[in-house]
Amino acid sequence: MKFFISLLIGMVIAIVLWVLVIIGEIHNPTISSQWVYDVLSAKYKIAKSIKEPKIILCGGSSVLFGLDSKMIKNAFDRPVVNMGVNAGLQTPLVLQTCKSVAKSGDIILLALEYPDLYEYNGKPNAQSISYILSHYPSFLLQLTPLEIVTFVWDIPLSRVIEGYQKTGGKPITFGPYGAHRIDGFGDETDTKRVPKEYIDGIKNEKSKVFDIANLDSSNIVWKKLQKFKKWADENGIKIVAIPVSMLKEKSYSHSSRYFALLKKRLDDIGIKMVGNPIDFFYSIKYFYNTIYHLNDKGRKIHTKRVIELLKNSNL
Amino acid sequence: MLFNSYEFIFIFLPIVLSGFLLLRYFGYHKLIPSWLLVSSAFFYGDFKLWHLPLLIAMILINYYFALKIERSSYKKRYFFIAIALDISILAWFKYASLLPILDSIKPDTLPLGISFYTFQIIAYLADIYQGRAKRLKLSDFALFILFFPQLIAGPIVHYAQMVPQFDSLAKGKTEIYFSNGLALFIIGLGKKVLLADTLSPFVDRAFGVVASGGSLDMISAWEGIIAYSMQIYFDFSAYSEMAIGLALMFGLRLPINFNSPYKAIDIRDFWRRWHITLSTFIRDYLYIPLGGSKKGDINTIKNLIVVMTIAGAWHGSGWTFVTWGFLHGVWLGLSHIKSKFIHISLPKGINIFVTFIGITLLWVLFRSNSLDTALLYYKFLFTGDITDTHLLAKDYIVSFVLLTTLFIVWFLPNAKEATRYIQDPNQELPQPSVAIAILCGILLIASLKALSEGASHSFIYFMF
Repeated sequence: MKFFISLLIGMVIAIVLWVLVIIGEIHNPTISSQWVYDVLSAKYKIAKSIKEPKIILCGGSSVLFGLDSKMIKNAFDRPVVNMGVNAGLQTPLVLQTCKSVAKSGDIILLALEYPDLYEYNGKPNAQSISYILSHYPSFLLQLTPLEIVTFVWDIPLSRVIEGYQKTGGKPITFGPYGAHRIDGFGDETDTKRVPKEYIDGIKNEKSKVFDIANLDSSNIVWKKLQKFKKWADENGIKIVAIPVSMLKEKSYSHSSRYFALLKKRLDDIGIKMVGNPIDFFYSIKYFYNTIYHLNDKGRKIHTKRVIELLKNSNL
Repeated sequence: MLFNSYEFIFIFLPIVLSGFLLLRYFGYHKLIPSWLLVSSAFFYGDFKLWHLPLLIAMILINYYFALKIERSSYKKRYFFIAIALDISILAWFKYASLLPILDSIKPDTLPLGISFYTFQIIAYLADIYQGRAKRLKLSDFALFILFFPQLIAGPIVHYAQMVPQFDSLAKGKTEIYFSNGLALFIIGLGKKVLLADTLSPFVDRAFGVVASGGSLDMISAWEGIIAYSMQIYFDFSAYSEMAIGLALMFGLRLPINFNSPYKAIDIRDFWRRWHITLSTFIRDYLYIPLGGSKKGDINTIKNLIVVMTIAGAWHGSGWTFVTWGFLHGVWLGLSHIKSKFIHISLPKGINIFVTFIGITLLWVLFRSNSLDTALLYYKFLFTGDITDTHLLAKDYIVSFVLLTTLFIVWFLPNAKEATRYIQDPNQELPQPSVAIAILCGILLIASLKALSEGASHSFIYFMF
């Protein structure tokens, strides 16, 4: 028995050491999270400057690249802020980002990328880990105990070392992503000209798999969305889910059951999704550099269709 | 299913162990070998199902020959037919690719563990032939070959080392065996996951540069080969320790396969410490039958070169392995001459260092995919440029791990010493110390954490 007790003590020591090592580098800026921080800081600033009820475009990179805030503003005569960010941040962080800028009377247009953001299973990805550790550690307190344990366990050693090296800190002002690429609404700019290698990159991207087995009602993502909806109701904020702009692929035409179930799941928690996702898959000529990122032309077409959809739904 | 995978650690092993302990607890002792056989077959079949029928066929055919060797008056004939058949099957899978004429029918892959289980079968047949082993029940013979901890990469076990212990599957002190087994398994897991697998991408990079015709500076070349020297030791010895640990959990003691080989003071000492069960096999079934060291110095040297060249070829069909084995044979021969005629003694530390450097230099042949690559690598080792932009210059994790491995091999006790493992089943097994248990706890968490960050890497010796 002495062996097993000692073994257990060793395991506890290892876990405590790991936690201490992580705590030692919390808040240290890293290059891997710097541009996400820059973009979100700029977007918070835009949102804060709006005093009247506004429309918040909420989602990942398809929102950032795929919606034209100015067109939406003109269509509904309301200020708009685009809170989409292309960093692979996961559902809880995306929702929290929008939550932190929303006020009573606001409307949140929710465009979570499928399948990934609707299939969040509590396992953090590298981007979320890096951003949370460097810039938003208090976010961990909003997670369930199991999510916190998973988060701490999943932090890669290389990220901890990067934290101790303090590789970030200075705003990033060049490259394809960052605060220098967004306009006064928070929309991505400069996507008119599409380099050939970007198109080649899109062609090489793996097709997404829409499997209804991944939409089980017991999944943690629905609890997150339910909580989000409850918070919105309590604070006089309206949420409308809208389709996501995405590259059209032949195989996706067989995904109607997946999207019908997705809409039902949202319906069950009181979030209405307008339109049919399958109708918002576009040809490659409308894309910029990934299967979710529309180019200038694509963005205008998609935004126009979303506006029509919203008007028909009496937003 | 690899030992260093979550599915093995959290699903397969707990199920097999629970079944084993339940059978023991409820007194169904006769069912234990069957349970272990079924589990082992599942374990092996999980890698590639089609390898399993071949292994089963090998077991059945050799069991038939073992019966014939024991009972028939044509012992010798049956013995040599069986050996020829086993060697032919092994040679077919390992060397058919050397003959272009066989291109259309040669096997695509090498059945996992075939080099190891073939040698174990041959050792058993030789023991039966020489009257050192008794005839076994088919189920015991099958378990002797198929027992999953040592099936794929050894240790190569003799009849006398394992079969008499089959009785202890049903008795023995569970807690001491289990705690010792767990300690050895965890140490092996840590060596593999934390050390060998961290060095692996760096070694691939260094050798990859040379294999693709690029050039390496001298420091990078030395970093690469020292890293490989550590990788192969920590990889292979890790497997052996995990195998010994797993067997212990079931009450069986397997022979150790490594005994601090990089503390060897000369090449003969190295081969007494490195892959001990293969060295023993080669000594008993090749070197001694050839005459060993009893027919004069010239014959001794010749025998050493022949058996080591065969040992090299056992690893693979490439000329790199043959040359590696041949050079080890030559070195052993030179060492034999030195021990007879030159009596200069150097400080132990210098002997250890010189032996390590020699062994490490020969690993270049073992790791390279062709003789040309190996020669080019040697060129960079001795005539490459010296720059401060060498491969490890900013790779802090690999640098730290490499230094750690060097410290471990030269200054720390090995796993057997640390856990106080005794391979003789007739001697009492002591409990591992509290310090080792705590260290194992830390290692277990660190290893599981490392495993969660990436895929499980196969063991180097699985390709042999």
